[in-house]
Amino acid sequence: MDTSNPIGIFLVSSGSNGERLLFRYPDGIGESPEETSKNPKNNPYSVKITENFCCDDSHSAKSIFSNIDKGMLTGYADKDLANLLAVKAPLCGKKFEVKINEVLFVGFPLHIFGSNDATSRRQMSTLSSFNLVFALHGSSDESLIASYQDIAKHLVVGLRHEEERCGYLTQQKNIMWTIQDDVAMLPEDQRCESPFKIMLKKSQLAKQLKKVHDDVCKTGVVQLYINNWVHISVCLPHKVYNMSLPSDCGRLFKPEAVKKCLASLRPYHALLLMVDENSLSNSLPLDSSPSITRLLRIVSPLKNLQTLAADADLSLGQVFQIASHLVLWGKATIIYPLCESNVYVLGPRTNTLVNSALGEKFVEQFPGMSLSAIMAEFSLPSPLGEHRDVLGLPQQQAQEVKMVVWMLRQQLLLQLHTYVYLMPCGVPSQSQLTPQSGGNNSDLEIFLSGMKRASSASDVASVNSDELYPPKSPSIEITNEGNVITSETRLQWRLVDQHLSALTPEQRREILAVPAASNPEDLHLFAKLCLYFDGHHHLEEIMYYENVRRSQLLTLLDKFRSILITCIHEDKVTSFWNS
Amino acid sequence: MKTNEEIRCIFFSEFHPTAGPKLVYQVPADYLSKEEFDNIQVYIITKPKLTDKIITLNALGKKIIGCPICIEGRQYVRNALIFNLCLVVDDCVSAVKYENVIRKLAAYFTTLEVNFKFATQNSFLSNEETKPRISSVLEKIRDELNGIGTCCIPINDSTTINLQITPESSDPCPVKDHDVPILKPNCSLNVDWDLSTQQLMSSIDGFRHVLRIAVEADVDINFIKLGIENLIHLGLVQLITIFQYSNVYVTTPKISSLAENSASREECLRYVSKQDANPCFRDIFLLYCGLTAGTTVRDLCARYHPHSLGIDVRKLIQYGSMQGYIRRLHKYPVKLPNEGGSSFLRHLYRWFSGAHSYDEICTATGLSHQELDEKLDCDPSIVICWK
Repeated sequence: MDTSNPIGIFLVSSGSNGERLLFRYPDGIGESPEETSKNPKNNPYSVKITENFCCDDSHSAKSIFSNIDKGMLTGYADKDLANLLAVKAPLCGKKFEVKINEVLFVGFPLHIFGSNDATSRRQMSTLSSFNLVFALHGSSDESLIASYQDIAKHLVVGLRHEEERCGYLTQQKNIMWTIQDDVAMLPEDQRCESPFKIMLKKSQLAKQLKKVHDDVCKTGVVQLYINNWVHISVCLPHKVYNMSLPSDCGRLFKPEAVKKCLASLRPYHALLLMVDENSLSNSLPLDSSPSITRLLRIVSPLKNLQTLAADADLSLGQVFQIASHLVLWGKATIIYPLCESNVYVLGPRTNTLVNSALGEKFVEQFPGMSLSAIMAEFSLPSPLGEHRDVLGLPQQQAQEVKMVVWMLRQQLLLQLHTYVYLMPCGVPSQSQLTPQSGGNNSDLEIFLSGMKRASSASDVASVNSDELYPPKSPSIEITNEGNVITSETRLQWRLVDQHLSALTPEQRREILAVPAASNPEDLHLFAKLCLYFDGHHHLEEIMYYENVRRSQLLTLLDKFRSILITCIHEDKVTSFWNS
Repeated sequence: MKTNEEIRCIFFSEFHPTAGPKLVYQVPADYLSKEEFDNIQVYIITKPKLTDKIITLNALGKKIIGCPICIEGRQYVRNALIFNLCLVVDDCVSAVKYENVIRKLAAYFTTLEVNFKFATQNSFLSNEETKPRISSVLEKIRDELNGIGTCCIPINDSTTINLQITPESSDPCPVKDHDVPILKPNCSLNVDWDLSTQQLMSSIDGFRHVLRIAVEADVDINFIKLGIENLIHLGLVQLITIFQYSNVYVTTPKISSLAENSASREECLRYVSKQDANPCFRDIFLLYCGLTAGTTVRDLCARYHPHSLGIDVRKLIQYGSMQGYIRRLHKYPVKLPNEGGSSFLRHLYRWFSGAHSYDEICTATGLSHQELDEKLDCDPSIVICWK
């Protein structure tokens, strides 16, 4: 039983006639469970405790009876729900959340402002506010609550628009009221059908709310036209992700995990579509942005977002937005672009059970192969290029890539990255590398602007002897004053001034003590990169931002290995589903 | 526990016979305005159907947790006394941990009301003489719960209000035979436990697994599991895996917090150092980072000689596992379905479905890892998945 599914959807209105529950689905037979709820209390064998915690005792008896039965809300009469869910005017237009024992009601109540001509047209309208509410399991976490409130908000805003445009809500409300009154007038024994079941046949809105409930449970995507006019299209990000995976994975993550991933999207990331590109293009609404179609035509797991932007002639910001949009809708996921040096291993939650549904799906795609055997091959990390060598033939290589893409789509693989820490020895308790607690980005910006200054300074220095350019920066002036200063010390000074200023004096001393530091080129590169050596930037990121080759970087790390430590683990961004 | 101001306000409201729902006392005074109360009073002084239920309302940027109570009796003007004692916290605070406080507080006030009536023909809440005391009681409750998380307030000879904030905890996952319980680094042992827990605590050393503890103590394994589950719930014990030199561990993204946080670094240094040794943090970090897929703990020891660096490698692994800096890679043997196999292993095939790890198989069958390795080596129809 998925506890992230709602246990009911409710529409309540309030107006001059008081509060009323217009519609509920599923229509838990309101009253009857009340009878059973009294049973635990009336147990003839129970010891009546008159003093002490008599009240506490009744609580424990109550808690045996739950208001959630088979995924439906029970034990609340329509009258009570109307009273509970129709809120006072000052709470309208804000998120609504109330938890009663283990049932959580979340929604979005809204006022109806009749504009002058609209009210004159509908003198009879008594609707002043309404609320659309989902009932959830009490243990739902905050990001889930926010997702449902978001869906409710989309729907109520659409409904209010239609009410103000043509009185749609009033019209639907009248249908619902009439049905309720008709049923209430029938003698008790003839009420064979609940009014809400009849509404499903007669009211368009009732039908649509049922569809919202069913779609949220099944797919997590809500797409409909209110009154055939207002298009509503929302989704539960975590749900669409879980839906795209085979059911035997049993993985559930919180909606906020997706949002965290999107917050750390970088231009070197790539977009991996979870569904076929054609079916995705066809499922887009007619008025969707042409940029999306343009991007979809060229998207590939091999291209990073920046290349995509260049190829599709879109700005990077636009590509980021489209990528985030696709990820949020579960149509794509974020990976590091496929390349030979990528290292993949099995994720810790990968289902290795032989003969699973996943295995059958794999055989459908790749006849004659066994998923277990391939998983065993990815048990030990080695670069993708080396896997291919084992297989040999070119067509097998192509298939290997296809298999990796398939496994990435199924989220079976984690990509491992190498992170670097600057950690000199001999300093038992060195202070932090970057003492200021500012965000990474701002650090990076400061650093990058520092880099520009440095390169211009060194360019000037190299031609300084010809005296073509007058000295500009203070560092040049110093060098001009002291003729005896060697090039190394000059370089060291500049480095201390500009790049290593964030480090402690001991750390600077340790860096300069490494034999490779005597080579100005190495020291320069090291100084340029050392701000990345805090364990938060993987080699691929450093290569991308600083435009260095992998071999260059690896050589540098090797030369300075006495003060560096490398660590291998997955990137949190591309493995958020694993959390 | 640190002092905080998490409980912003605590208030007592009742259904006044003539004025209707009314906010009678609140600490601090004037926290909720009359208008605010009127907007939300439907969730505080509720319809009779909702009494005795814990109601948490998230509105106005606040979370209000209460439990409306209705005491019926002919002595009341409307034949019933309806009241509710509510806590108010900020809307970003989780309210679940206060639910038990509210439930118990409602029970205490009910008892006070009912018992006073029996004793003196006068009740506590509905008596104009004792009623003003509520305000001072509320103030004490708020201050003590915010201060130390518990409170103990004597009201009269027979009633003392004892409350404790219960930290939220998810359901403890089931303890398995091959799990190893370990005491958390800064857990204090000087608490008077019951006898069976005391005995259990003494055999928890971070190396013995559940089955072994049960066998050695000659106690039914289910009792041991229950005891451990309880200790996990109390946050004193954690589960790790069996330590062996053939184990393989990998680092997790969490390792960066070890490098950055000086308090973690010092705690780690203290925990993993051998007696009278003073290892360097760089060496410890180097050892953690040396843990990769394909490298066993034995390999690590051979490469770095942690003994000579003053590092206890068993403690190093324990600490890393507990803090989540490293995680164990488990071996899952999988029998490929379409291939034959050796008849020697047929009786073990049910373990090779891909759902059982080496630890599980070895604990159940009594084989050692090495023996299992040797058996599997000679069967080409079995592959090993590490995850």
